[in-house]
Amino acid sequence: MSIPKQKLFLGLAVAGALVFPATHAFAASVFTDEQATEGQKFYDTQCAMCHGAALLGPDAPALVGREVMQNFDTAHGLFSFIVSAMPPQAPGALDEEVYVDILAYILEANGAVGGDVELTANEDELRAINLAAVTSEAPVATVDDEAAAAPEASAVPQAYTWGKTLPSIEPEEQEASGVPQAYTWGTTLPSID
Amino acid sequence: MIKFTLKSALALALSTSALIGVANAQGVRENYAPVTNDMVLDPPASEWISWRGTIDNQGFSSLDQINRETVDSLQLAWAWPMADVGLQETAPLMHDGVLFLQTNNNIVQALDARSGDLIWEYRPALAQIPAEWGYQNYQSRRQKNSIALYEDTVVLTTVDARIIVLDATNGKVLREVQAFDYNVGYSYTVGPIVVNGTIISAISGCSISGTAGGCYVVAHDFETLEEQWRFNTLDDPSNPEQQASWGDVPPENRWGGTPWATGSYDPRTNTTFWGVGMPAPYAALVRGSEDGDTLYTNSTLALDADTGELKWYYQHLPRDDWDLDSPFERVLVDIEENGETRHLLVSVPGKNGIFFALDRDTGEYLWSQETVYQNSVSRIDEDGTVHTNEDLMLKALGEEVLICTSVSGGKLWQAGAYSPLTQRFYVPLTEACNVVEATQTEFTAGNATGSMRFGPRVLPEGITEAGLVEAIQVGTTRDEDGGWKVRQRPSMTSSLLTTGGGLVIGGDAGRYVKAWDQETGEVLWEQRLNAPVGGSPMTYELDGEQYLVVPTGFSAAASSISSAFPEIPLPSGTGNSVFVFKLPNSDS
Repeated sequence: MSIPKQKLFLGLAVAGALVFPATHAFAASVFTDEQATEGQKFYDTQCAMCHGAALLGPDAPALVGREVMQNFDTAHGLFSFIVSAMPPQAPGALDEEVYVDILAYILEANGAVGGDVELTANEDELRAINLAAVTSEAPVATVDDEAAAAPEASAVPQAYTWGKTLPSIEPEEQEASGVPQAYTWGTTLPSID
Repeated sequence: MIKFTLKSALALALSTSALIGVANAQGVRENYAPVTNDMVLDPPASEWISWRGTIDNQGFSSLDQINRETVDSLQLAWAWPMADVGLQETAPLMHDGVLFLQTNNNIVQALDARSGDLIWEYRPALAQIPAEWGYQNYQSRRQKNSIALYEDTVVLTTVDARIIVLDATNGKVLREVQAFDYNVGYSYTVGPIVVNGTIISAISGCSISGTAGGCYVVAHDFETLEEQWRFNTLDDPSNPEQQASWGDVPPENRWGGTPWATGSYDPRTNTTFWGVGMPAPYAALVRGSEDGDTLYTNSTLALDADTGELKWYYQHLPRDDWDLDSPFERVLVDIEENGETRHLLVSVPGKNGIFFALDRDTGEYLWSQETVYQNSVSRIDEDGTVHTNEDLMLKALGEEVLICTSVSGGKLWQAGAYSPLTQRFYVPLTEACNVVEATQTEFTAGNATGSMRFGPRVLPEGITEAGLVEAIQVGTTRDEDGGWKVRQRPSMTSSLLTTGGGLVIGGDAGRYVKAWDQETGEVLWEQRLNAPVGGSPMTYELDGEQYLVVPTGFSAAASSISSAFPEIPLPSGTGNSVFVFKLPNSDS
């Protein structure tokens, strides 16, 4: 497998110029430790039989991982799915508070840290929570934070467009992992945000 | 692009070969009659020796002891728990009195087909991948289809991308090859066909990050396991049209194109037919292919079985924007019309549920017909040009559209069946839509490249029944009045079986196995079992008695849309099993 080197070098060179919309600059914790603790209890009895004790499946899709968080996009994206479709043997049958607690636990399992703010089922609030941002341990960018650190150089290949300015991507330092990326990775795509 | 060398293949083979010795083989089946090549091409009516019974993928058995009049008298002959949990999508085979049953993690069991008693069991030591490779762990460790029987062997494709040839009499490994590199994401999720001394298989996992640029139908010599040819569904330098169809996106940034349903074979023209899945990333916005058709995704491929050379292709869904794969079973049907034999390929190839009839010698489009509600295709011209619905293509991150069918189908791996008695193709379908939103994700090892959020599956507006069995009249032109539709609340979860007894047999998320009348769609028999009916029901005859095998178990086709029929709760236990029915024995 090979990726043209120029793509890698281009990506490393421009990654520092990433600009992030304000909605993706969520720094604060978004749930309490108590919610996550309760959520784990419910997860273990309602979800783990398929999604696994480590939230990695394999009998149902993994619920932890950078790609998982980025694909669900916002807390609303994840919450709206589980509240209507899970658990499959009784979809939507749990109390709303239970779903919220389970959501808190999934966020915690993805690296988010609990705090004083209580997570609720309010759709607007959930939509404002960018999952990749709140589950990242990296410094959080704002719209003004245009000077994010460039990722470390690495010999591994990246996407054809790696490193070009992209919206909606939280600013964690992007170590070149050797994993190929989408053709449009690093480019600015239109967004309705 | 991926370059997989013989050296690396040997290294991988050696790394796992030391583990293979732990495979079990408890018993021996004496005097096993080999499956000859002639049998593969024309199986005994009493047996079921390939995924769909015959290598034309029709899913039809001519057995007729269990028929419209007798089916209501079926009784349980025996049952058996499968050897592993997890999604249950198995396709049992029967030859010479032995029922071969593959379950998750490539466990193969040989059972006495009369009694269900175990003869031998094979458990491979599979290569482990990091737990963090969550998508690969989930996606690869589900065996959708089948094993293959050839001569005195069982040919097995594995989740760690090996081809293993077992001794059919005792389950011992005769030989194996590391066909692809599981470390980059490749896995086998569908079984091979074996014909004319060649194993033809197709690799899966091609939407996993490390597999960029290469997804293959591949042929190996049955005796030596040497690779004979491979066809790349994502990169065909010999076809400028294919290259141009990805726009500026180079092979290194192309994913998908997985042929994840076992192909069919036509000995008349020595052609093997395979369906190909969607492109990834799923949305053109993120994929970067703009208005390109992204060949050969969502296409039917007709390949020369000796060389892998492409004879023709037909694309069922260009510019897929919503993960609506079109890889499903390609069924070969000969029709007599006006004193002439027409050689057709019929299929509901894609998740959007549209039926297609093609001339299988030329790839010429003949006609098509919608089944479930869908809004992904706006029209299909008379020349077969498919117009994908541009209005629903994602134009911005954060934009949400409701696409029908859903990522779970419509149609999925559950195969339809053709009956020569009625010249109809019977298809299990699900009515469903979902919201999609393009996302941007940084790809990580062992994980997916789809870059899309899928909302929960919901019924289309105005539809209250998720399940649909549709009978489609097959011919060179569409018969507006042919066929029938039968709807029900729970989703369909198994492949269908057609029989000479005039029956269509399959099952649903509500744990019912049912027999429908091929002519009318009337339910002639139903039996409630322990779990959603799954896998591919099949039938065989021994000692003058016809048996019906019905797999059940954990079903994504049930769980993904269970909110549409909450009055029918799914079991939380997996219950993966086979139930075997036959008519009361007049001697007893």
